[in-house]
Amino acid sequence: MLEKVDLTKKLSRADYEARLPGLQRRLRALQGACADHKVTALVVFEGWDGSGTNGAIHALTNGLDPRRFRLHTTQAAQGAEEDYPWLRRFWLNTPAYGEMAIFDRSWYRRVLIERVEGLASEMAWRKAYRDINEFEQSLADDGVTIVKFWFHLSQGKQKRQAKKRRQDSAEGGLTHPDGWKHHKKYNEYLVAVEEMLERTDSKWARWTLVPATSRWYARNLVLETVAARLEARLGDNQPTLERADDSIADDIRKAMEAAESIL
Amino acid sequence: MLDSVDLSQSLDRETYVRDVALYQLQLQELSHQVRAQNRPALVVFEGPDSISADDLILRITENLDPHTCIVHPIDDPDGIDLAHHHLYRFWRRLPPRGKIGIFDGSWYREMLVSRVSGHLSDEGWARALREINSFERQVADFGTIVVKFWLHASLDERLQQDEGEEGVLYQVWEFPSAVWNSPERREAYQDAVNEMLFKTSTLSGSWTIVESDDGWWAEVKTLSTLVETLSWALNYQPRTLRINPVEAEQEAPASKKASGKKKKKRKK
Repeated sequence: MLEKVDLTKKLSRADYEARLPGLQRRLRALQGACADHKVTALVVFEGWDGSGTNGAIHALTNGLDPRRFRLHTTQAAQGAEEDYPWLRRFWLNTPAYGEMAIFDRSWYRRVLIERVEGLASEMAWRKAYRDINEFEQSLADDGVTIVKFWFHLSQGKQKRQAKKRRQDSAEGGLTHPDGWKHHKKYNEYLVAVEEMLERTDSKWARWTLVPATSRWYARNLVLETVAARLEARLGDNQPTLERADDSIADDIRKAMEAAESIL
Repeated sequence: MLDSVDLSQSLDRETYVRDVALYQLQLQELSHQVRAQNRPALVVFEGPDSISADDLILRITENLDPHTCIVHPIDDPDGIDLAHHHLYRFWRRLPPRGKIGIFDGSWYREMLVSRVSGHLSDEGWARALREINSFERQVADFGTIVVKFWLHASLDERLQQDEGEEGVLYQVWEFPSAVWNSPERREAYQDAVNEMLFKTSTLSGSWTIVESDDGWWAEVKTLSTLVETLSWALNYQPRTLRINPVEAEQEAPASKKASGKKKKKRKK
């Protein structure tokens, strides 16, 4: 499945920046319409470490009304979370009607890292596919639009991207503390990812595969996909887009960049 | 299913007092086992509004350590629950490891009400049943002990209870009595309940029907079922269960040899 992802896809930074303000304005308008018509959305970000999910999430939320979306990051269950069935903590974070919930990593943790690193028993992760599908089906039947992204990189690309990032960003290399150990187990993870995509790609919750070699291409694809899915769900209730003047926002961004280079 | 229930069963005062005392003691012991074994337990009381589970729940909780159980009254959803999937509020209220969560009303209520009042299509009904079974399966997979009680009483009994209030005929779930005067509605209700009991009696949690015409009978039946289920699921025999008072009485006049045999059998 994943070998079909075309990792050579690219978008130049200039093209992306030209499109971004329009896209973000469109998403903001869609978000308003979703609140009015009680269209609920759940967006899941999964992907290789260092594939740029954080940047894509930032690009997505940047233009949104912060009162109407929630961003949830997912780590290992801890404390009281372990005293309940494993999906409960995700149920508690499901979006309210008319709102959007964004998951930076999600319940798929169980069939990826917890499976490969042996943190969950084989019975637990095997059972999880069914739990996940039924969970997503319940939400989808209740009217929730589910958008799932897998950010894909080849092993070589993952290494190259991470090394490049180590040089030019404060984040440095891979985000997970054991990122490089996981990188060495790329092929083990690949098996888990393939099985996950195969077994949880349902008609009520499709996976969108994102070639993540070019971060501009990936971000653009994410924003376009979310917008298109919301538009499809809104049907006749499309919001009207007002023409806005981007020059002020542009000037602010330029000023920020100038300030950053001084710092 | 409900037609075949024998509603004439009752208890005399003496038996009632003895059994309640015995089962409450055993329940106390089992509730500490729930804590020791770190397993959650979930007890559901469901039935028409005209039969109250108040006394049944009180008999369970009155002599329990309050740390071991938590009771959730389930009314119409409000606040944040209204803005989510109908199972959201029950996921929220699930008992954690080591606790017994008791639900007065449950995830079955809304679907039955909307089914009988005709708001729920066949498709919606099937979906609700599927989601509930999935929910209970996940809860049971986690190790939760699930016990479900359906309270059932005869029409006469319910008429008596209701007439005391406002002379309402056969009132179930606060529907206007006009609805319940129509035989078709009653039939729809019976059908819905029967189908629900049948389709949601699963490996994860099966229903126990509680004959509620006689209040004492109902209380003892709930207590004994709970004790049996917990004892089986926790693989723990409460100490007090080893001296079954009924057996003890019968054995009393028998010879010593006979009682000796019994003891040997139990050791095996």
